Amino acid sequence: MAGRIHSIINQIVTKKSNGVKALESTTRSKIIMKGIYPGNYNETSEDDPLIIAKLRDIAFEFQLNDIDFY
Amino acid sequence: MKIQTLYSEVKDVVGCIADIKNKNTITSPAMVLYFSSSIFNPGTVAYEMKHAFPGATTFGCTTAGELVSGLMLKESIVVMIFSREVIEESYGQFVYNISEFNNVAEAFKKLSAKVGQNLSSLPFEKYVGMVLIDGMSAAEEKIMDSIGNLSNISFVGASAGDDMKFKTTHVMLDGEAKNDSALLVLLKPRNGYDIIKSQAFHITNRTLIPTKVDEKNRTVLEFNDKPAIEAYAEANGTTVEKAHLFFPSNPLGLVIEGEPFVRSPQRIEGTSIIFYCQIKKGVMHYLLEPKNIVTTTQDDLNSYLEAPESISGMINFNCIQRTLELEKKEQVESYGNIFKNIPMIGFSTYGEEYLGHINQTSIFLIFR
Repeated sequence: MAGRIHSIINQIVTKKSNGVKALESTTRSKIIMKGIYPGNYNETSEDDPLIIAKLRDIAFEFQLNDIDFY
Repeated sequence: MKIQTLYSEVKDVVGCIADIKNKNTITSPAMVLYFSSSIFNPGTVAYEMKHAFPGATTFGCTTAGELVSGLMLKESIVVMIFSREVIEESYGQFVYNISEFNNVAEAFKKLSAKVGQNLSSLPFEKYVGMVLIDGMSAAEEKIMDSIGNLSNISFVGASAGDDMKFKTTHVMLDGEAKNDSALLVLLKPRNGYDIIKSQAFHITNRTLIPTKVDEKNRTVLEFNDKPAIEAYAEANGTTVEKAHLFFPSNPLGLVIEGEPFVRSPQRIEGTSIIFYCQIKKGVMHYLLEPKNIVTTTQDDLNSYLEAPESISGMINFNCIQRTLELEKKEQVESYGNIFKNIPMIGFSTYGEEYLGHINQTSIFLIFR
């Protein structure tokens, strides 16, 4: 499987930013500060379980409950 | 007058604040921000400041040097007095016991109660936060991370100083001074605000990936699977023995949208490097090369410097390492002169806060 990380990051960015474009860049910056570069992942990136676990933590910290991790 | 900047170098704290109060011309200010040398008793500073301006939110911290329009000072108190034309609302809240616990969520609840609604429901573009943190707590990363988790409102600020004694720093709010604490202040500026991040570094193409870290202790054990100091020395084209000489001029940058977020090496321990901020494992960092602080600051603030009348005031959170560099290069006067036509106060900090905890940077909060 591939592309899950890209999809999860996009969901996190959109939901944390409440769909507000101006906040998307800030949210991506916050994710980088937490140790993941969103730009490193696209639709073909391998589904690394360690990165997905880290994204679960980030979604929890951002208090986002409705992210599809699968 | 929308904002007034004042300072006093009177060495007795009561006299110093009385001097400032006597110079003030703004009646019934909304908010009073002050940065105080640690030569003054912080409890007395906080108490006297609240008594001098009882109707205003009064807050600030101790410093490693103070800045006020056109001047870089030592052993003084600098003050920015905000009229109600500039600040519509201001709310302050301490976060306690920060070195041991993470009480940001609790502080946010208290702040929300003061505002009368949940902070997460406030329009992020109408509010801005200031954060001042005990500079000896090493808790900045968790405070900034929690703030970012809980809110979309931008919080900027710095770590308090103690004139380079590195013993105790204080943050102050409405008559009280605390250490092992952070201070959150939520503001609603009436005419908007801007945030500018300025650092005098060029991003090189030499990269270091932390492969073994002790994040909590801000320590990198290995870069690129090599002992940290060896990899850092190699990146700088020098020897392990001389590598520490490159620390002030060649920190690392976490690069976000082409902008470096500076991570400064502090000292060597064995073959590890201890930094002034946490470094995340696996995230690529770029070696930085120095540029001129005075000219980069002028460039970054160009639009404001060309039209000083367009802004009401500016707060400058300026890293102590930048101040030391300016002193070494005898550029203190030139740096001060950048701001001579702008109502500005600031201080030499033990770290800057913007999205996270960063080093060797100036964060400017500008009130339109």
